[in-house]
Amino acid sequence: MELLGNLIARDAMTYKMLVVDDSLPMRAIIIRTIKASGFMETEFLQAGDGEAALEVLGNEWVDLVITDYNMPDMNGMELIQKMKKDDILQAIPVLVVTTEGSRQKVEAFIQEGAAGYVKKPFTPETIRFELTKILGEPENEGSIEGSDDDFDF
Amino acid sequence: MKEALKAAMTTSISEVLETMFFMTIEATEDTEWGDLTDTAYGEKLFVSKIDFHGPLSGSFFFMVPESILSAMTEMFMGMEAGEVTESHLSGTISEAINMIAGNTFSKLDDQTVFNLQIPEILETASPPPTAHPPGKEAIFIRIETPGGNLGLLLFYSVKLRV
Repeated sequence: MELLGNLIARDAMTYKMLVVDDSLPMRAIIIRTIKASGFMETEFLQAGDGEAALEVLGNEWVDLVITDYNMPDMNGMELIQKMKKDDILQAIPVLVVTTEGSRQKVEAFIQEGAAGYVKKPFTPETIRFELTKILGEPENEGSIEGSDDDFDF
Repeated sequence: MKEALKAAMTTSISEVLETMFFMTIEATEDTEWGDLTDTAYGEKLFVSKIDFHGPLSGSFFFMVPESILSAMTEMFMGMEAGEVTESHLSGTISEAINMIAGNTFSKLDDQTVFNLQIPEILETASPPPTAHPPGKEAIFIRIETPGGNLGLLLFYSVKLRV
């Protein structure tokens, strides 16, 4: 019920995203890059691994989960598998952002249900491309160059 | 294999440091990596290490003097100089080596899975060895930046097929 309430109360003009990575600096750069990619009104939640992410998802509805692969306790693949087995969470798209670059791993992410994949290092353009593919154009039509965010891309 | 690895490492370093940290660098191979201690670098040296397994197994070591790592962290996290803590520095260098290693392997062979472990920070009181460990190949890339030199060291061995 709490999830449903959050869903109804959510402002339809903004997105809420959960960023899952064991590296605090990487979570910070992902958030800044997403904002610089035109998704400036996005609200961000953060988690340090898959288990912490599931805890957050138990209380909050998000429009997108962005997850790393290589994390202690529960990695990104396990997180996707758990989400896809859950009646409610399976509807949330998952974008994998990781250093794992082998074709076999990328195919495995997609097979398990990931909506997209971005390899580190990434540019704002690659992030924007994937977000737009999954969520559509940002409401404010912000451009990378036109961003008000203090970010020197 | 060694030449292909060197090329992949050099390209990977440039891509990671230029794309994520906006650094202009010159990466060149060097046969000697010398003394990897604070004294040799003239200031505190941060060293991160990441192990990997697969057709090749071994470790990458990434050496960054504190002043350069601080500047990298400020850029990476969008922080002011006074806000950066030792934990931020450790997080930044760990993520940098993670990206460099992952990017190296995907450039070397994107059909093969290399399993990267979780990065760790080495105490500079016990730095990486100054000579080849027995049975391992070594590649050292010296990275010149306007603020000083960084280093990327790789020890590896090739898994024998039986």
